[in-house]
Amino acid sequence: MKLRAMTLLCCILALSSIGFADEKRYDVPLGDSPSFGPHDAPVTLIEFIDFQ
Amino acid sequence: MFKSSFAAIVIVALIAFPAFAGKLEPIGAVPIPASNPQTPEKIELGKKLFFDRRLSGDGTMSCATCHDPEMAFTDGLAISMSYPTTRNWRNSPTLVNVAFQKSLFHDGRVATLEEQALFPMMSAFEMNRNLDFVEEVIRSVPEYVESFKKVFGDTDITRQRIAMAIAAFERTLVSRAAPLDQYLKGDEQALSPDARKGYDIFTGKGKCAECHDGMLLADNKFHALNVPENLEQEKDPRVAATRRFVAKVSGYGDYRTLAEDPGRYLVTKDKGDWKAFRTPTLREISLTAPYMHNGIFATLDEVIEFFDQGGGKGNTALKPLGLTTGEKKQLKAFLVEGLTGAAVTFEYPKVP
Amino acid sequence: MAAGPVVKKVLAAYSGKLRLVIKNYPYRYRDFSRIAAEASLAARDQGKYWEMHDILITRSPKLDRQNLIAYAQELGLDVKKFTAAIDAQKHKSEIDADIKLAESLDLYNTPTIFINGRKTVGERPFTYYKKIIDEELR
Repeated sequence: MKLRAMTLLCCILALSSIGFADEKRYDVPLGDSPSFGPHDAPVTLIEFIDFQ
Repeated sequence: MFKSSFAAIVIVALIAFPAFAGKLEPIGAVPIPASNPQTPEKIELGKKLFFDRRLSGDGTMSCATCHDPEMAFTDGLAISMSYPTTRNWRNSPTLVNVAFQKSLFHDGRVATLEEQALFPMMSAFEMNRNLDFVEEVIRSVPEYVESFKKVFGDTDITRQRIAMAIAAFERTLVSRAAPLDQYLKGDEQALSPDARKGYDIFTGKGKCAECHDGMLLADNKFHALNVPENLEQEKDPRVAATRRFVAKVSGYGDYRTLAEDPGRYLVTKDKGDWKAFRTPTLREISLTAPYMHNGIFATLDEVIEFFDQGGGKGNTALKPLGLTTGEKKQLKAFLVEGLTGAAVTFEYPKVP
Repeated sequence: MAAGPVVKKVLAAYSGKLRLVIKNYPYRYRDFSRIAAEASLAARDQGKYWEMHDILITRSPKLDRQNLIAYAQELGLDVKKFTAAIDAQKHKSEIDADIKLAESLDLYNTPTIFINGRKTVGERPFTYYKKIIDEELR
């Protein structure tokens, strides 16, 4: 009984770590970079740009 | 007389039914060709080249652009990324477990990774790089020249070597210990009860394993399922240009008026291959949306529905399945839970 | 390569709910990537960052020194000050810091866009960003 509970728990943990690639979040510091839009906007879009 | 005809029947039966048709197999040892053995230096060199934008005409694209390590080596788009001003016409397939494939590209036109690597580099709508030129570009980089010497024994930079290094790197992209594999090896608990039922449907009522079998859950054959056309493709003149271009260089006489993707036909010129595409692997499937050669299905639900209905209009490969809602749910559970292995361990290279 | 019109569309569609931040990741092997980045920050010094940003994107690849000075003129900037800034590489350390950040994130392509930390690589269609932003707004 305990073994079944353990394996079930492992399954749940394993499933929760199979993240979907696009939900991984990177911590990118804003620094003093040029910014447009409200500072408290719910969505921040950081673009690494090459003008050419 | 009776005995020999009985023997004949048995022999015919053994030949007619290949060993594992319909049977799933766990991931095994990676096949390494004798002509391109793996070494750590070669793999590292291949990894650098894989991420190197120099391999594209304007320096904007590398192999990794369409085969992003953080998206199971696809790019998450219906139609793959394109060279600026052009438009690609097919979906970017995953490179996870690509080492096990016996043919590459949706139309299976090459058999080895070494051959494959150069195509997108040359392709006008992908990386658009002249191969004679790229050899000289790589030759201008001292770090590469040194690596080539270490890896290949002398400093000559050739497209073949570039491809060999990239192939060596790609052969390391293997996902192991998928729950399906544990299950196949005897661990009943590796799949949840729903996924286990899904496995039974997959190998039974769903008939999935008739084409999605073996180690890759792909039969290395080409089938015309007549998936819905991608409307964007029909409207976009850039896609039409790509389509005609590929048909032209494939030697298809009527390329000027070609209005749909003929798939494998362009390779074999066999009428039976019109609109046939290679059965893709189902490993890592929950991470490699959108689905089909044109990315027409965004979700596995849509895919399952498509197969349940018996495939696209006029196809002769599939028949309706009559799956219940519960069975579809279980099948999906199997696909999502069972086929994702351990994440490919990965460190980004420092491209010179 | 910049996402240009798509990012503009995104900004317009989510005006008020979105904050756009630009970091420079000039490709070492493109002739004008670096100087264009300098030009954008030199324009920022004079309060016209976004105008210069837009000009650089639309006029690329005409981003050599001569053309950049012409754009500064077009924007009504103090041309002498602008020219001095790009010639002296006034913003070298900021650009280098951005590059260092990009390299620490293992970025290998531009544009790379982070939406609330979620990474997307390369130029993608508006619908792709919309989907992610809509999820973030929920």
